[in-house]
Amino acid sequence: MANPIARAWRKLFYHEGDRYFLLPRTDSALPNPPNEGPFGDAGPPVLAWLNRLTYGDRVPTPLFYTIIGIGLGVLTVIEVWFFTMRDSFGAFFVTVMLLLALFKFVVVVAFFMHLRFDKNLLSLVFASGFIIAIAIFVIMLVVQGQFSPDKLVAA
Amino acid sequence: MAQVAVKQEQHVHVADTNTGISNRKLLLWVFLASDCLFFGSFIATYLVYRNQSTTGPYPNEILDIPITSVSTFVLLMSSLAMVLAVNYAQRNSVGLARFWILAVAALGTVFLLFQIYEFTTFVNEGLTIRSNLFGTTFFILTGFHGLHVFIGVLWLLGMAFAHFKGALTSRSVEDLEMAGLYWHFVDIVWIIIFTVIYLIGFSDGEGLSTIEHAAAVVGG
Amino acid sequence: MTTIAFPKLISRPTSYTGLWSWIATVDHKRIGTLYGITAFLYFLIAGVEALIIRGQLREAESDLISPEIFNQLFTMHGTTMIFLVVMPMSAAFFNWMIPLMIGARDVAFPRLNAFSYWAFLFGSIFLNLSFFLGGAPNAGWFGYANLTGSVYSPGDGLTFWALGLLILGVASLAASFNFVVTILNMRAPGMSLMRMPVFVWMSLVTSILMALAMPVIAVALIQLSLDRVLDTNFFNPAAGGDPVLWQHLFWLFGHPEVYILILPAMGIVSEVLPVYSRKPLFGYAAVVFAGAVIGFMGWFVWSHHMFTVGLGPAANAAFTISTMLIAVPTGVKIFNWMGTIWGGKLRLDTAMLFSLGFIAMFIIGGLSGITHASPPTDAQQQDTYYIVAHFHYVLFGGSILGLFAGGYYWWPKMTGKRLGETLGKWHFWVMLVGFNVTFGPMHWLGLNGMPRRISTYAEGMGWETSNAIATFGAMLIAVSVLIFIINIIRTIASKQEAEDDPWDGRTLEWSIPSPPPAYNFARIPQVKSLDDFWYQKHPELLHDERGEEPESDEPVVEETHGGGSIHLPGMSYYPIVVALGMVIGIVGFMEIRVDIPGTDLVFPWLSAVGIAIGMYGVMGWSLEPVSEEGGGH
Repeated sequence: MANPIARAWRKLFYHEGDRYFLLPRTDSALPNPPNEGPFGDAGPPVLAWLNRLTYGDRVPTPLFYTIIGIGLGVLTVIEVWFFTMRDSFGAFFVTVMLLLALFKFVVVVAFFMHLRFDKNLLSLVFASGFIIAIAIFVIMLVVQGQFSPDKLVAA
Repeated sequence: MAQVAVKQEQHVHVADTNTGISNRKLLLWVFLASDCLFFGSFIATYLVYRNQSTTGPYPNEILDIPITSVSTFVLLMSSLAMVLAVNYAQRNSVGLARFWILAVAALGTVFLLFQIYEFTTFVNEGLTIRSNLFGTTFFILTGFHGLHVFIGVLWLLGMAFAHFKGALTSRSVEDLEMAGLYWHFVDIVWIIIFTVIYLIGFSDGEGLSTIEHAAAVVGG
Repeated sequence: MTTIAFPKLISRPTSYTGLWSWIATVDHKRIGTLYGITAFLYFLIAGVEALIIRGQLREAESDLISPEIFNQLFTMHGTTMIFLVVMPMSAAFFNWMIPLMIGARDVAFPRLNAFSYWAFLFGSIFLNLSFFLGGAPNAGWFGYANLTGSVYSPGDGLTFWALGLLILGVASLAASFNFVVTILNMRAPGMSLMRMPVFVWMSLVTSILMALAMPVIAVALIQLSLDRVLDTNFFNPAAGGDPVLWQHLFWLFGHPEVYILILPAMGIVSEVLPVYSRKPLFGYAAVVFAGAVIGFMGWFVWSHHMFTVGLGPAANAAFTISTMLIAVPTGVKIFNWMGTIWGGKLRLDTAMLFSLGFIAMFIIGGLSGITHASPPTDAQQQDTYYIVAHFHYVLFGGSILGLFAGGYYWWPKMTGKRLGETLGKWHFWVMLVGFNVTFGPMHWLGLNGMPRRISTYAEGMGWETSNAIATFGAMLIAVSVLIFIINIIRTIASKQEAEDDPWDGRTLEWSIPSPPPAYNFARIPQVKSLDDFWYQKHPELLHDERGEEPESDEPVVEETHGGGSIHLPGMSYYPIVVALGMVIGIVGFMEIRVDIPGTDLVFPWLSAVGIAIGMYGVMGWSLEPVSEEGGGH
């Protein structure tokens, strides 16, 4: 089990000792219990406190969601602030903005859409759509020459 | 004995399906995965046509970042309100859930009003769906996003007035959860649109004319 | 749940016979039958279109039809065969067989299922109405921009095409969501994913592909309709628009679509071969994973349709590699099928013959496909009859033969009567010979330089003989289809009754009566292994074939679906109402006409009517209990 590849392989194909992708029939057979903390069990005290917020009655507490929401708001303010000083970022501006957007995206999907607390299958379904979309459209933009030198000069 | 105790403790409703996920919720997630490709196609179209417009107005002349930042913030906070509504419904407090649903619908309406204001301003400044490539791709992309928001507002209002009156059942809680998932999805699409089209695309200007472009390609 | 009063125009039908019971049906078997009948009618229409095309090309400088009509015919032939024949015929088998094979009483969303069918029916009728309303679409089935723009195609034909395909796309999306959920969620106890029949697996892969590919073509079609109706600039080169973008979006959808067309047939063949070889499918897991890998890799090969566009050597090389790689899982499947036949006790019934024909023809089509995976040879073959030969070998020799195999195989289960074997064998042999006589010569016509989509050709090009042979072959195919129709009529008229399990089948659908009762399974089956029904009949084979020991009979778990009596979802009119509203709403978009360049729009009153009908339907739908007696189980 120590080898992560072997673990991923077992998780995918030999789940619960049955052959291949047996999807569990009951909640108790799920690999991740519904109230597992989003940050794992270890971590500094702040994370432990956040973990406890997600252990409210049977769903995370309103306080937890409010913290996440305010965090997202702050990130948006930071984005706009970065935008105002975009000249000092130079070529890194686009990268930084995309990473910030991706981070916000993941946070909303993981916590607001509670995929982190939900069945893994739902994450798989959504990720397959999202990843295929990103992959094919990035390839399309490359093939269309969006990243070729003459385009960048024109911009 | 221990097993019986565990079973009683398990108050999460287990749907009667192979995956433990109710049919409707799985359907909604498949739909959202599919919608990723829908918006992905529109955003990719926008990106292919960046800096390709041959006539103005160009993005750097017309995009209003302060206004849009405010409307982005409104939509983000509507997402927070939405998650609180679902949370209170799951905690069985109907009144608070209903309050937050109406808050989401209100914030969504405010976002739509911002969009109407933005569109009207742009049209007055000469940007229509016909004026250039930027106008075409911008209006259709943000317009379809606005349509999604509008449908979400209708959905939530219908829910607030039809379902959230008496005692909550596990089914109506799931109804709200699904509306919430849809709403958050519309929000994350806007997160991408705001970053890619407004913040990154703000400096986009006039494109090379077709002949210049061809010359650049041949020369390069 | 609190209910609010909702105006019901018509009360819910309760009788299970008569016209209304078909219009309001939510039974997956009836919807499957409707899909099948509709798709077969379109098969005949598209076949007549093909015959006219072949008639025109029979001799040089023929003037049987005008070039304009010729363009309309080949466009509608391709569009009809793909969107109105192969896809709905696959949907017919999905509808009929998925619930029976996984041991379910219905699909996950019966009313959504009905909505898919009605949207498909209305969309297809709308598309074909264009023949009578100012000319059918005439820009080829992939409708390349900017030929499709209003400058070069001023009539309404291509607007019909774009909006019609948009409606069909919505129908396919709804159907695909439904099947994904059904397969993942509704399996009988014990049927893990790796115990599902291969046909169900291929349906799952196909449905996922549809769910993810249809939005892309929907966007492309929305852009095209906006360009045509509202004069936007998406594909307008004068404003800097790029026609290549249409090609990218179309083939981003179009290549997954190719697998949407072929994977169901592959699934059918994977069911038929083991039954008639009396052997388990060779390498079940490999067949399943090959299908899944094809479904994934199918996303990354689309630009091989665009090798001659000039994307540059780097892009062409990358897509060459991915295209050649995707042949590997396809080859894996073919070797597995041959391994299944190898050493089996073969029964050459009609379904088996069609499956064997599928393998042979698909190999030919696959090999000619490999030849244009390479850009230099593709540059020679692009837009010639060689391409036409290739895709008919994979789509006719593949999909259509596979679907006929499924038809002969499952006919007794669906109708309770076997299709005649003698006429069936005549059907197969005439069709196989006719098919090869038609499309075989097109290989050398193409390599000899005959372009596709030309309405006629000059004398002395050396194309007359091959074209005449191809036309003769097309008539043979028509004869074989006539034989099939006669076979159906004779079978329906006959008094015979098929057994529940006429072929000694392996999968769950053969464990119930033919035709199945409305509730399918009186008791939800408990599945203990792959091909569970076969090993119930032959427990002694379980050790030899699967390496498993028969389990001792466990006490039957109390079934969870429905409780005491079997609850079936009630019939509903709302699906057809919503479908009608949606179609009118989309069609009404054509009413928005631009008077002068500017903002003068006519109010889209027809769309408004459609949206109103649709909203009424959606509200009625969401407030209607699933069945009248049991409060929303």
